[in-house]
Amino acid sequence: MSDNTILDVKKLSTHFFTENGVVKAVNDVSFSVSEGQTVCIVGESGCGKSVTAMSIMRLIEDPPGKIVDGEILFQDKDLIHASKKDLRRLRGNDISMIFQEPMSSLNPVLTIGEQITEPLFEHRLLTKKQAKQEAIKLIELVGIGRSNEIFHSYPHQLSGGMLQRIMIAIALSCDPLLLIADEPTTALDVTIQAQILELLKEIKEERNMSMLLITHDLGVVAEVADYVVVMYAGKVIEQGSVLDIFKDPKHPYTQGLLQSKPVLNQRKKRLYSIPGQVPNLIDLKPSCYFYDRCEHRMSICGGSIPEKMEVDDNHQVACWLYEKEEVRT
Amino acid sequence: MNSYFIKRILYLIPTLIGASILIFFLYSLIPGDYVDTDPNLTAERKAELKELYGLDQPVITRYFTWVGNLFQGDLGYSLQFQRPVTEVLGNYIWSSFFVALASLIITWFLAIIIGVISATRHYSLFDSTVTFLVFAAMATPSFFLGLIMIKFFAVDLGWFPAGGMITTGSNFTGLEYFKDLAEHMILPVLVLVMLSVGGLTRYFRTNMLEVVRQDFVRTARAKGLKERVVIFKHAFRNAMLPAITLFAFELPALFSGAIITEQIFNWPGIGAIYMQAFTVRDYPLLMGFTMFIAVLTVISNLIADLLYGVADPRVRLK
Repeated sequence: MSDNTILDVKKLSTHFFTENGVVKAVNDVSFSVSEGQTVCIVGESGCGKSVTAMSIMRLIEDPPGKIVDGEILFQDKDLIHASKKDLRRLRGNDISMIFQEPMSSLNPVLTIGEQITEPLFEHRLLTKKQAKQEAIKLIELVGIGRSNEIFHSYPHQLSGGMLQRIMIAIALSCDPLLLIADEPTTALDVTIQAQILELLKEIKEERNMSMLLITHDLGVVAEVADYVVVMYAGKVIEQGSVLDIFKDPKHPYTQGLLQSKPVLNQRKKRLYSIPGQVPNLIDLKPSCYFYDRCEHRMSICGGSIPEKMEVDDNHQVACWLYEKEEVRT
Repeated sequence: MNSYFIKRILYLIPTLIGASILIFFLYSLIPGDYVDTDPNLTAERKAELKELYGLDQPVITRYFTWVGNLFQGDLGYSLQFQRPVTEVLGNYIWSSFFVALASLIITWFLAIIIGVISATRHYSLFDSTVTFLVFAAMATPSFFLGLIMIKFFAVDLGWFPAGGMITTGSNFTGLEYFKDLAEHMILPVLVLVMLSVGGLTRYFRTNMLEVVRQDFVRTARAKGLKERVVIFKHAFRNAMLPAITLFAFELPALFSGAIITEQIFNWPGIGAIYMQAFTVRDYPLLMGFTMFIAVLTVISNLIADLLYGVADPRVRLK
């Protein structure tokens, strides 16, 4: 790993212990984020993207969830064994997070102002007057006018796009080194999506902040990512630079995902879709989890889990297709 | 806001008229009256008494007389006490009120604390133990619970008096009187608290559990706030919103007395008077009291709506 790595996730496994069995939501996931880099985690619903993000923030509800294995290093600090107090100092300060649903992510009974100033009091120890000035500045930074009026309004008086801007303002309030955005545009309509992404990109570049973006939207990935991590059924199946992933996808799943993306000015009767469904994450057999849906499946795929391997510089894939002959047999 | 308030007040009028019709006609549907309860009276004497009390008039006339008197603040005339109903209520309602108020405060205080702790330590030993105890207390009938209390605390241990409101024959004044009253109140209040704390605890626990799963609580945690702030500033306020309505409904209950508990502890409250009025068919007292509670219920409903607007910005009126 390079020297300016700020977040290093190693062999992270987060499981949920439910009545029906153990759900391996995140299963042996490794990746890293360097300073100023944007890493995207892509995958369909239920593949463990959000749980990965929540694990990094240590916001997994315990019980039923538990980080059972692995390491999360943030600036060489171990987050998994960090004390509650240390975690609290990091959250909202060095690492902040924005969520998928801006409508429900803000407290309905507190004003926007109260909610923006909270981290300012907590981490930057500002006085009331300073905090208000700072909050007004933040509201303007995320592109909302009438900042003084917004400061005193309640979440239900604002639109979804505005609320997501407020969430971004809260996340930025203490100059974080890393911003985790968990599907920040999913709940918004398309024009607002583009605006929010543009805003995130701008702010990121201005502040040389790192960003971990969780999304299922490949358009978003192409737009903002430097590095892409593709997840499937709790495992990383491919990871590489955004160019590698889009130009030369290796894993049949990644290839399928890219094929099912609509392309402008190309008339197609029907969009490609990967046949089959995501497997149930309870009681997975030791096999490639994409086995049932894969066009290139071989006998070995149904019997053992492929290891992640380097296919190119900084481009890794977990698929038996790329394993050398002698290992396969 | 003002026009809304006036509108709400105006709505009270048809509601109260409806209540007065229901109350009056339900009681007049019951055959027999106060005069009929005394079998020793001659027919002539009965007719004389009925005429005196106005019971010989047609029902409609009697209704309007009753409502007309209500407007002048006259709830009727208690036949059993031979005094105005307002005076009888005034004599007994406060003793019920103090017991109800004390138990209300203690119940809510306990229920909120236990509910919040149970919810934040979901499925812990504390949660299961307290839930069990609270339900056991709630499931026990009040007469049984009351008698157990008397046997244990009053008879065996002798800590508290077994019944009554003040020590018989005593002539305390000032602080002494207050201390004596408090000692007599402890057992009935304890019984009432035990009976009602279960349901309320369960209510707060469920509300809290629902709220702590909400996205904005996760946001609060993601901001790096202290757990105490997350629970009390972010979750608790939202969990308390529906409780406002519940709290407003406690207002009429403060004045309506506890029939069984008051009987057991020989507490001279309105609950006991209410029961007694039934046995002697003192309908004016019953009607007056029911109407009084109806008015309180309607008013507390209005208060609940207004308070809700204060607490929840989403329903706040422009």
